[in-house]
Amino acid sequence: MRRTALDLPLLLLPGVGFLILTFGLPLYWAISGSLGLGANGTGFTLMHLADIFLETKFRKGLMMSLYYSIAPTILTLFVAIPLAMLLQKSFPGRKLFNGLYKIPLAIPSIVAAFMVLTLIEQGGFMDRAMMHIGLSMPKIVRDQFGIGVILSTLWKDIPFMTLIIAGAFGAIPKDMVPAARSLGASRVRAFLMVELPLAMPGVTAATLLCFVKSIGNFAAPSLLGPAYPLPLSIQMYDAYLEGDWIAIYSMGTVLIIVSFLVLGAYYALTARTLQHMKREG
Amino acid sequence: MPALKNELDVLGISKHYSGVEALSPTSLSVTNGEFVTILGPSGCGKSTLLRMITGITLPSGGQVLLQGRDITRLPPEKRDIAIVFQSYALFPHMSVRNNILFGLKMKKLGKQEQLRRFEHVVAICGLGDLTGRYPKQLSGGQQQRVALARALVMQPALLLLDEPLSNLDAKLRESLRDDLLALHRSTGSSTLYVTHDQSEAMSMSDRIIVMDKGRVVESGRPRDLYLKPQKRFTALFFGHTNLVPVEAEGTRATLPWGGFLPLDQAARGKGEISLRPECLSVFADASGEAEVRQVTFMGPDIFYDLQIGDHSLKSRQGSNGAPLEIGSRVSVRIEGTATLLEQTDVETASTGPSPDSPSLEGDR
Repeated sequence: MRRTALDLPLLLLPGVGFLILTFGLPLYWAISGSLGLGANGTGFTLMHLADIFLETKFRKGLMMSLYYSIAPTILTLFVAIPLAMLLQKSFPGRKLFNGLYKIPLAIPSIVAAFMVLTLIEQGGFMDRAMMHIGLSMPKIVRDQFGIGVILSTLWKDIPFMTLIIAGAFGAIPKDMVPAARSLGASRVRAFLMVELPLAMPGVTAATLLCFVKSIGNFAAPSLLGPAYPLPLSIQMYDAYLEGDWIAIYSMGTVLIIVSFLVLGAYYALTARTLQHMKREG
Repeated sequence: MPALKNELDVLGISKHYSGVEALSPTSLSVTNGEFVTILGPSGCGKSTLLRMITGITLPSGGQVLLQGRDITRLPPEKRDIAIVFQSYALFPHMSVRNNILFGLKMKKLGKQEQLRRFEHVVAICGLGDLTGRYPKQLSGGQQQRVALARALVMQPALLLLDEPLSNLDAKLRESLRDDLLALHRSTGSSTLYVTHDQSEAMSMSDRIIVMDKGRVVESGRPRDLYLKPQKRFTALFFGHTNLVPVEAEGTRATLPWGGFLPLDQAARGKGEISLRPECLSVFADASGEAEVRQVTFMGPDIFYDLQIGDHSLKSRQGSNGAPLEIGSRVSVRIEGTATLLEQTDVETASTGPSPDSPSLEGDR
């Protein structure tokens, strides 16, 4: 059979073509639409994107989206890492715990959001339980800080992150910590200088996945969040109901750009911290 | 209180994992500059013992003294003990240089002293041009030398080596064994070495402690353990041997095919002795008591499988003479004296579990 220069592109076509059609094209439409190009565009302009930052409703919405994604991700990290460490040890009931903590992973976000709602809203289960001792639940559903949203995100994210990070810690060869300890490192320093750097790829993957998952979160903020400001995910849906495609394209593009910026900041921060720890060590 | 001249004293240390005994109460000591080997098959408790000496695992009972100081409950980082693991356990995210400097930084030594010690171990371990590399860029032998350098740079009171050669191929193992011994002689560090390889143990050690099933079987100098073992387990563990049933009468043992052998100690009754193949000399003799059944040429040696009456014996001869033919009659001469093996043997006395099981209970 004669080989031609077209062989390779032809072989790649099914895979790459599928990606272009299903992912690339909509992305292109979104970005070009946000720039005023495309079918119902008005010609190239940055005004639509600038609107997201200039109009209060959108600007506060963007802040809210970032808040709903960054705050629970950071909180989750502080719970998931110790939990993942604990799961490396043997303790009574470890097997049971190891199975139980993963249950939230199987619960859809909307169900989780309703569970949190019935549990913590004023007049909800906890409120009625506390009434017996003369206390009442503070307002943490539809409150201005979105505590209900954060709680329900945590409930879903902690097991998710723990699962990935526990895998990363479990993959560390078993003699690493004893070696560090016998060379004079305390339990804490062995963790900071050996275990954490070695588990870092897993921690990074878990953090980024949690962040990206939460920035587009819809169920929890619409059910548990305050009515104003609404995160961009909900505003995009509202714009869709109004048929405002330019606004959808612009908000989508801004969310993508902001996600990349946050990821970039995360990489820069961890790279610098690890470098610093290495120099110290 | 034991005398202070010992670098390490282990006093009746034991370990149970959820009620199952991994290590029976065990005592041993290492004197200053001594090279002591713990030898035993996998699962004999030697790794458990080592982990308790480093402080990685807490013992269920007993005491560990380092230079006379009780360190039984001290965490690993407070003990003046360095260890080289079988897996080397080099930190993959640090260069060779930072691996070696890790311990010195943890001990917060001055920069000058760090550099002086670093350069010294790099020189004696022959790591000159490797210090900028990362562990995955090194061969097994090089990794082993980095692990050794990382331990030696600490100038520990005691150096522990946990099967450091067993992940290397045979040729490299021999050359590193010689390097290790030369290094031990030049640094004079008190060393506790753990292995399952009896030839490694015999060629390196001042003293060997033989372990099996969570107990010490016996201990002594390599030559004594090889030629005059007290226990059947030791006799069998140190390579080929002939276990021969004898009838003791004073200092004389009667061999089952007739003939006598002097005993080291007077005894009476039935017993068993261990005769190494090289202690049996054979001569072509048409009226000899034995017949050659099998001839195995091994290079430097020839093994002869002999039949005397109901008994099979193995003899090992240098391969320089003319070899004997299969089926030829030979006479056998046994050199030296023999030691009666002790009747009670740990090999049958204990039913310990596998102490190397990965249970983490009691670990920190």
